[in-house]
Amino acid sequence: MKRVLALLAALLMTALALAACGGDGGGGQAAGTGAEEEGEVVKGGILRVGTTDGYDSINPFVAFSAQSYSTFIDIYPELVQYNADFEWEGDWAESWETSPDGLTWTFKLKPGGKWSDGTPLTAEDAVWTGETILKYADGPTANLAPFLEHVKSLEAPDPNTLVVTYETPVGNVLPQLQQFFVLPKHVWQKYAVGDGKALKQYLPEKDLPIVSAGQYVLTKYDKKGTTILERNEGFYGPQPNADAVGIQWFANSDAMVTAFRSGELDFIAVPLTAVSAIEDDPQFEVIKAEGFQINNFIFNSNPKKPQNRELLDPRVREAFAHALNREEMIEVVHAGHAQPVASIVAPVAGKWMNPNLKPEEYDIDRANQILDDLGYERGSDGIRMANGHKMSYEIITPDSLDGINRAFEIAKTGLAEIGVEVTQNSLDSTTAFEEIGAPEWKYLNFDLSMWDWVGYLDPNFVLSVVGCDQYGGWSDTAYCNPEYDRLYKLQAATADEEKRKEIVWKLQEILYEDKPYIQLVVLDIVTAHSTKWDGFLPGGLDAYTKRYLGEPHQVG
Amino acid sequence: MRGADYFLKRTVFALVTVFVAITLNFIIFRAAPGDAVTGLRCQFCTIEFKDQLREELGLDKSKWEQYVIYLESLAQGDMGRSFVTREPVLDELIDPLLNTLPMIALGTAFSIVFGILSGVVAAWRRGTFLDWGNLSFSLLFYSLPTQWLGLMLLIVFAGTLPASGISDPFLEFTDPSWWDTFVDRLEHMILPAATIGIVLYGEYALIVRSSLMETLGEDFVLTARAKGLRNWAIVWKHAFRSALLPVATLIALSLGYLVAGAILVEAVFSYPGIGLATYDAVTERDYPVLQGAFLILTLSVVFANYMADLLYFKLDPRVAE
Repeated sequence: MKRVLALLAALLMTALALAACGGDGGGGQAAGTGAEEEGEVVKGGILRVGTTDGYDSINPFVAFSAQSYSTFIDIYPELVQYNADFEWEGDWAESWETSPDGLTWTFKLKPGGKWSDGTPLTAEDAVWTGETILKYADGPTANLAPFLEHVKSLEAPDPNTLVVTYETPVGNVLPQLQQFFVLPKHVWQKYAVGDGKALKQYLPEKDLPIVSAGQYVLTKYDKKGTTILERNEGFYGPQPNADAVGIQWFANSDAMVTAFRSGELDFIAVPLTAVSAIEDDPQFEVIKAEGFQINNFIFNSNPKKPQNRELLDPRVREAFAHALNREEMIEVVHAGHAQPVASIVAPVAGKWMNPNLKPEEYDIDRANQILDDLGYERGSDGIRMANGHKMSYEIITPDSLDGINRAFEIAKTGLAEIGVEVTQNSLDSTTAFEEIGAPEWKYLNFDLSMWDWVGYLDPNFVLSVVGCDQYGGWSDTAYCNPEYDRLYKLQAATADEEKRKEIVWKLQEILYEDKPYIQLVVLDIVTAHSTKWDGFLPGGLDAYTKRYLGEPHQVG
Repeated sequence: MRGADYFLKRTVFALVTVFVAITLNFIIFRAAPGDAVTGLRCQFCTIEFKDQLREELGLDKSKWEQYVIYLESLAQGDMGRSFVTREPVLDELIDPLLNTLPMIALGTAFSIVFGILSGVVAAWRRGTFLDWGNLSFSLLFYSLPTQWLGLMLLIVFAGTLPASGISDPFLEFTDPSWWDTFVDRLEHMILPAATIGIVLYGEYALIVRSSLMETLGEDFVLTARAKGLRNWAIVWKHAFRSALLPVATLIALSLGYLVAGAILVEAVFSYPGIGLATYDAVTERDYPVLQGAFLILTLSVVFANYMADLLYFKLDPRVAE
């Protein structure tokens, strides 16, 4: 969901629902912690974390950035979360059950929680937060409303019970609720008046420490410096091991890696090109994990596209796919820390990824054969002619995507071998996206692009970006297939996981055949920490569980 | 009266420059494709929501109306509110500005002192190994890309000096004294200031050298020599004063570095100053903050030039004539 670009990046991470891979479908408490147990656990200390993803706001009704959302997980209660094995477990919820029709979800909440100002945390806070989000869903609370999509009502029969009722069956209730942050009613209710605009205008950082009921209390907020989270004594769950966490922002990853290597930081997400240098240093431990970011090659799939219409032909797209050397991209661009993929759903999503789809082999002869069979003959300069014009196209690339220039060069070399000439149009991300949609989100001008999507564990979001209703929204392909849209809606309303999985696999097959994208590679997430600390979960889980910053501890 | 004329002319010229810059500020940022709302691609934001946002930000009005409002507000000292945080632009920029100023001042002071010293020595000892060495280093530093130099300093001094930020975020946990805080701030300032200082140093040294060499060939220097004055007296008391004229202009002009140079340096050292604030405003299409930042840049350059002009009037009697 997230396009890696400044604003976009922000937006994406925010939005959607993650989901349930390996979820237990909703009854009861999941087990397993997956936490590392090596080394003697020494409580206390300040965990110093480096990041290049900045905060955009600390007001949940305004924020879009991944860093902000990750911090909301630490300072606000959520009903459920994932454990390290991607199974559901309660966060604030102790247990939950579903009515036979799947419409009513009852959560039993852990008692004893307190907001950091001493006010008791009760189910009434959750009801108020939910009702406020629903009330202003078309305006001030629009960015949180998707997490309560199709919710009819929230009730608190007692302080430790929350009942959520849906209008229709929903396929991904828990993934959605995992992003539902409960806010302190006694702090926020004075802003939920009139048109609700005050909800967006309120700046929580003016009233530090922010009233929190998660495992940490946010005591210092500095977008362009270090934000500090301190342990919350009134937390309903297990106390975090560290006394405090400092999240220090860096304008560039080189500076962050330098600071980490010189001992100024304890934990960072490592840029892939710096992994080998850190790996060789015994002072650090590196954790590699499957990632969420898939880099892709995009075809404008708008049937109304006036120029270069041969690019709409799936056979031409297949020829292109055989000319893109994924292995070389992995080695040269990502220093070996990536894997070839065929689907928009990442392998980390587990059962939701369709394993029957295989990445197209790098096979120049086969690609040439396909284009020869189509009758696109080479001119004297080696470039093929299609429908009376040269097969010469521009590829739009966003300059914010790491390694994109090298990836483009590899694509260019491969395509040149099959008689296709490409030139690069490198733009800042916002402009690049507008060029793709030009003019006015009619998607008539562009031919090709190279970009990425960052998905969640639940496939719902990433499958949505090719919907007909996404012109001017998330669409970067202008793909529109009514049958696809029908199946997409069906999966969203299918509560039975097996049935939903079948539909999700079918959707991926359709995309593989029509090829609005050629999915290229999925990037690993690599984190590193000082050997003075231990207990870290794989990177990327910060968006899914409080354990990510709760379990790390100093080593005795 | 001649002085008053000169003063008036310079003042009018400065004011016109400011007005033109203000107008260009407005036009340039709106000529870029997209606006703050298209930048905010929110899947769940309805068209009505986006329109409402445009209305709130004043983007639904015609460009001309926006311009008039912009001028009116500016005349009242109001630079508007950030599209992103909704805070007044001045509040958004004042802290970054206060962070940048001492850093730039430190770097500039370093470059002035060492640039002038080195330029004088080179000119005085021209043709010698000392001159050659000075010239080579000055040219090298002058031609180094600022951000590259910053990165190199960062790598070389890793572990010795802090790599980023403006202060140690964890210092407050140790109950620091006033002196500890001061030292901490200074440590964080050294690398970015040194980067700016080294690049400017090269420039100053080259200009001082060439200006002084030219002056040393003047008749009045020959006269001074004929009078039997000693070398240092000729250089410092006679030649150097004349050679300082172009240096005064150069220093004034380099105040434009306040924002321009700061962008590169601050991006390397994650230094939360006016440069980084400007860079963020560009990526977020935050027009009011951009306009504010460029207004500050414009005013500082125009003001510095204005002061240089007035100083010239004092320093160079030929201007008064």
